[in-house]
Amino acid sequence: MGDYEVHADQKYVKALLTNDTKLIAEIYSRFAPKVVGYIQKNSGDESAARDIIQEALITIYDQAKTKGLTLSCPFDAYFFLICKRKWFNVLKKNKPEGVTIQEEITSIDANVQQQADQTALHEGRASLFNQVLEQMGDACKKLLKLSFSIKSMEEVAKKLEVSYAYARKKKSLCIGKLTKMVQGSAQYQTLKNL
Amino acid sequence: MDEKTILLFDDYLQGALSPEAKENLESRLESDPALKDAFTIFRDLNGHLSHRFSDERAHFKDTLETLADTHLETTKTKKKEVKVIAFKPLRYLVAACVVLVFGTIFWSQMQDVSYDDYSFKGSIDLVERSGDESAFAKAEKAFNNKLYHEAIVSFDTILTNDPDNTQVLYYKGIASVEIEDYAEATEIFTVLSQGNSVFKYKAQWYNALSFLKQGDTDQCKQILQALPQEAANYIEAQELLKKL
Repeated sequence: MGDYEVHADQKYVKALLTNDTKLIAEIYSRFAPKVVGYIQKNSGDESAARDIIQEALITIYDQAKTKGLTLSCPFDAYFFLICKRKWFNVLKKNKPEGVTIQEEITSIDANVQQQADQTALHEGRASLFNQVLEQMGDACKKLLKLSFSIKSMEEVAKKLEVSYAYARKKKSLCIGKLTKMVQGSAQYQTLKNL
Repeated sequence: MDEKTILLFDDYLQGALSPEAKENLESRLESDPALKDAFTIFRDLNGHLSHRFSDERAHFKDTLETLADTHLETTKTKKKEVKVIAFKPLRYLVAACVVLVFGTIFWSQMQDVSYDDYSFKGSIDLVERSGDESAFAKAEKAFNNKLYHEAIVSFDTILTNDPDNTQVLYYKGIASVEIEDYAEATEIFTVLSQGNSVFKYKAQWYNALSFLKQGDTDQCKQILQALPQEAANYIEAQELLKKL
């Protein structure tokens, strides 16, 4: 990443991180209507727009939380571009033969583009992690879910009626197995080279 | 990547390695790109899973749902108001009457705000396996069947062995409100809200509901007003405050 200046709209990213209801509400009142309008213009309705908006905000939040996110462009443009791309993917899924999108021709700032690309990359990784987790055996899946939602491994061990040492070791080995599955996936190789 | 390496990675992330072992691994990572690649994925997977299953993320999603309900609904209402302008004068009158009637009904319902409007309605989930005969299983079954006295007996068994189990303590608090043992409920919720568990604010919120159920509106309001913005039930609390 370059040493660009942090945009004043970083406050919205911070609001997502701290669950600041007042500022998040501002995202809905200031930036959501544009997304709704765009989706309505492109064969969607308000409820489809709602899904896209929720997904986009969760994606941004996930990245900010697990990898950090420093905005170098306005939140509005960044958020809108993410929503647009998500909506395009929905349309493409329903109509693989081709999609026409109506929009005014405006140049998208390279900075915004780059920031949205980074978020897409992060989302791709997260979705790959979720996919491999789903492919795991039930025992590992259950242990991992418990370990990461309860936090205390003593409690997890008690719940599963196994020893603490066993639960801890098994948890590490399950994540090791996930690591190998990620490494072996074609998707990972693509993401790595992006 | 063998078992030994995986356990080494885990110890490293947990900060359980000796300074020498730590340094040793770090220099291996520097010189071995394949090992570093595996380590990066291992570390990121840990971060990803811990985030994905966190209460914090669940709270965040709750906030988004509530805000989307308010804001995206508002857009709809605004559109309807625009249409009203096209109405004929007589229709205004009819519309006004309809608004008045519904308004009155709505208002009177709002006045009757009760504990049941906000109380815990989901089922609790303490065990992963069916057919489990542990106290956890008994507590879960009794609670979900609304047999709160029975649930409390099992909760107590668990708490004797594991007094720090805040999740069970929180559910015991709810069960106590249900059987109207308010003194016990408030004692539990006070302990939880002074602690640092994820049930800190949930307990505070439920303590307010407990007073609402007893008809002590003042006490209920006082607790709600003290609920900070980061609490998961903050928006509900503000809504309830307005109705009171």
